[in-house]
Amino acid sequence: MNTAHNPDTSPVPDAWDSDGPLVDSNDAPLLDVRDVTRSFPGVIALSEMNFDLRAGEVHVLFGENGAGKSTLINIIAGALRPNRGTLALSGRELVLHSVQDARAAGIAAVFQEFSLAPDLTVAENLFLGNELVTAGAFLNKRAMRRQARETLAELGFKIDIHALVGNLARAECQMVEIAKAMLSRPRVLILDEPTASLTEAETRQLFRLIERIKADGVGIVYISHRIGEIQEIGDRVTVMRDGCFISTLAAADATKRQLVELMTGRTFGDFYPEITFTPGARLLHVDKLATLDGRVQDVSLDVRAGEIVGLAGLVGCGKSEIGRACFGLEPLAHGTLEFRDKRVDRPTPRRLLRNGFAYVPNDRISEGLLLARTTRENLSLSVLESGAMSRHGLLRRKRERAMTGNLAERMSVRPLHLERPIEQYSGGNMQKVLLGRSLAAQMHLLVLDEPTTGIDVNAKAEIYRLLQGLVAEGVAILLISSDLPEVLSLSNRVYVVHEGRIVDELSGERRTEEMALANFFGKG
Amino acid sequence: MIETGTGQPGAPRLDLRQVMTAVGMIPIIVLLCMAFFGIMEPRFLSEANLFNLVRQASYLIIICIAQFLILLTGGLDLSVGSTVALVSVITASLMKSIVGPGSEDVGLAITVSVLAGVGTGLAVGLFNGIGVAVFKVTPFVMTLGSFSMALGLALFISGGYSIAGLPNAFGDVFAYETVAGLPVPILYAALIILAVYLLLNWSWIGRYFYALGSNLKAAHLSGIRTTLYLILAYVVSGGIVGIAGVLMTARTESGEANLGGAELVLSAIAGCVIGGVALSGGKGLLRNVVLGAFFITALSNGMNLLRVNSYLQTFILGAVLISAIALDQLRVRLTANR
Repeated sequence: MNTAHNPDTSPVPDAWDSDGPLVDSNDAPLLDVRDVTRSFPGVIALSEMNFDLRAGEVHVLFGENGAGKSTLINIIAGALRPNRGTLALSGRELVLHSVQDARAAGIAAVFQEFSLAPDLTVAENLFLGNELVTAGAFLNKRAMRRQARETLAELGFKIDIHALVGNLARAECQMVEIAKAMLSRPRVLILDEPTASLTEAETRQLFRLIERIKADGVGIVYISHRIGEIQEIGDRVTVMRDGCFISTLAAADATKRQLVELMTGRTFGDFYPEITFTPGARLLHVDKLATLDGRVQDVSLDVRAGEIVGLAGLVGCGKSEIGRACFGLEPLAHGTLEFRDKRVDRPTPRRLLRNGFAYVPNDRISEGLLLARTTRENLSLSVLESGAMSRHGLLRRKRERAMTGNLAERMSVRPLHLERPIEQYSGGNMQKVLLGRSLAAQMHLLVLDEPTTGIDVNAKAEIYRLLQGLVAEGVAILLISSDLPEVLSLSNRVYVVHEGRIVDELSGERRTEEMALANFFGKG
Repeated sequence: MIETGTGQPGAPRLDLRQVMTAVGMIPIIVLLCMAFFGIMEPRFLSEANLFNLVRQASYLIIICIAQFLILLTGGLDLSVGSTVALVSVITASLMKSIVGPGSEDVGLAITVSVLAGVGTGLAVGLFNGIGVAVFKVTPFVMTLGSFSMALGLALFISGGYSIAGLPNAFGDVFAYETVAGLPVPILYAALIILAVYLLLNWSWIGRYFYALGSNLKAAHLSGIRTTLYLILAYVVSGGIVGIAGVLMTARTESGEANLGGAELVLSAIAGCVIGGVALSGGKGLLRNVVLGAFFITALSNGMNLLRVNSYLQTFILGAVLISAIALDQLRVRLTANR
């Protein structure tokens, strides 16, 4: 334990701890994390964690939300300080006071939340905070542009350096982030779920890039929730659970089952539940619907009570917008919408919710939750005006507490803290609360847009079981998902969306990955 | 994540950090401030001065509550000061014109003009609310514009002169009488605190105000009529400013276009921010806003007793506002990331 250095008083610029061994040992791993502990008020986020990274390897960190992965990479990247334990780079002890310190020492991180300024160009973003100057004061724009162009070319990215970052697609932003990190020639590169928003082709491109960076001797810490990626890209994998180190395995030897069991700490049954569908009355009927922005074109679909209908397609194919258009969030050009055999001429969230049509958006942070408010307030938000929650204009707070408590338990929100701000929860619990809100009143139809993105396997399984129960009660579900196995396994029928149009409907024997993929890129 | 004992409610051990997170800075600041002035000037803690202090604080408490409602929705109201001026001028000039020609019924004249004054506040609120919610003008620009409009109108109507000679009954009922030993301003403030407490904690309307400021899109997706409730927040706030304007007019017993002004805006925002209200919206407690307003008043009262130059007081108020925010940020960092 290094207590000699008080991080609050020692001078900032010196990232290296001079007490550490001065010899650069060749046997030492590139990065060595020993017995690192970090706690926050009320929680120990990381407990005596051990982790090492060799030069030229991809070391995957695998664990559920809240397992401590983010805390660990934040410590490695210099954004958080450990309470106890040490970091060493090539055998030399390392005390990091800031992200800049880490970068100076050769550690760069690409986080899930982008650190790009949308109103600046690609080139300006690449050098943000590290601008090249001439005569000590003036920006050397020409040199920066040249270096930006070179770096992007070297990495194989086709991005215009003069483009505004705000106009780039998410995948392109991801590339700019990686380029920005690579600009400092790091020895350790941290990638936090880099493929979460990428299409298949972009993922391939990223993997090729990772291979190249690896070959240059850079060590890569790679966080992913996608178990398939571990064998594909990883050399070793470290499993974490509840803030603790569980095991480090060679990626080639690890089976999926083994990894899931290590991660969850229990043996795992069938991942996707067997759902019995008994389709009843047609609840949602959409006929030739199109939005003004043209992202949805002539879409017709039906959803019946007691079934799950899937919308599959590539990221950005317009499947999300179909759900949004039905819920009144996108201006419509033409087409009709019928819900429970009644025509809805001007759909608004309020009108639809009152009739038993709920929608769960794909971005729980920006469109879903009141982050600063409590779990209770988030759960009860859409039913406060109902007679069950209010009388004579006053809230029935006791009832509200009871109702939201039951709801949170039904959604298996754990640990259950009704009165804490929702922002303290992991992604899985947040998603459960968001889903819970739409179930606070009796619903006939649920439209779920990417209900399991960025949440751990356990939470996914719990949400699947919940959907299974809802279908048994006769609820109709429109499931929009980019996770192809998920949408194929859970749905009774799957519509395939390509460029804003429904190009195929798969059911029965045709509901296979091959059939779906064949249609992902259009017919023919 | 592993829960440690201190996270559980009712843990036997008193964790200072948990207490700080739960209670916040403001009660401690108020106590320190009272102790400081009490030591420097024993008269500060005399019964008469404390009584006077509470009476003085009533006005700022009301204004801070109005500002608080707007901050909750993620907005900012720069127009509170000049709305007070406009309310004052309209109330006083209307009262004078009714009472003027050999009046019989002073009570009616007062009632009508007070309602007109509060109505003026409501109207400014409605104007701001429509601008922000319907036309999507940012609250800063909208209320900066209405600040200037209300001030201009107040100066125009009054011609820049104070409107004196109001009936004595007006001053008595709205500023100087006591009921059960309590001066009426304190009672009006108490009523407003009670009403806003009920609104924020016991009605869905208040819950929606928090929701709007916390995440407007999420509120819309949850079926909340966001435009309506955003306008409503400005209208309620404007009405409260209207009441404050009437009370302050009664205190000076004349209509003044220079009542309120920029310093009142600063004090109102300072009171809320010191009370821990987030400028980003969705966060804040009524209790702490009341304490924040009380603190600002106590500060100025204490400095008056210590004979601090009044120009210097304005300087100090600004400095206190900045240090309060800086200290609070430090506290957040220390409790969250150490």
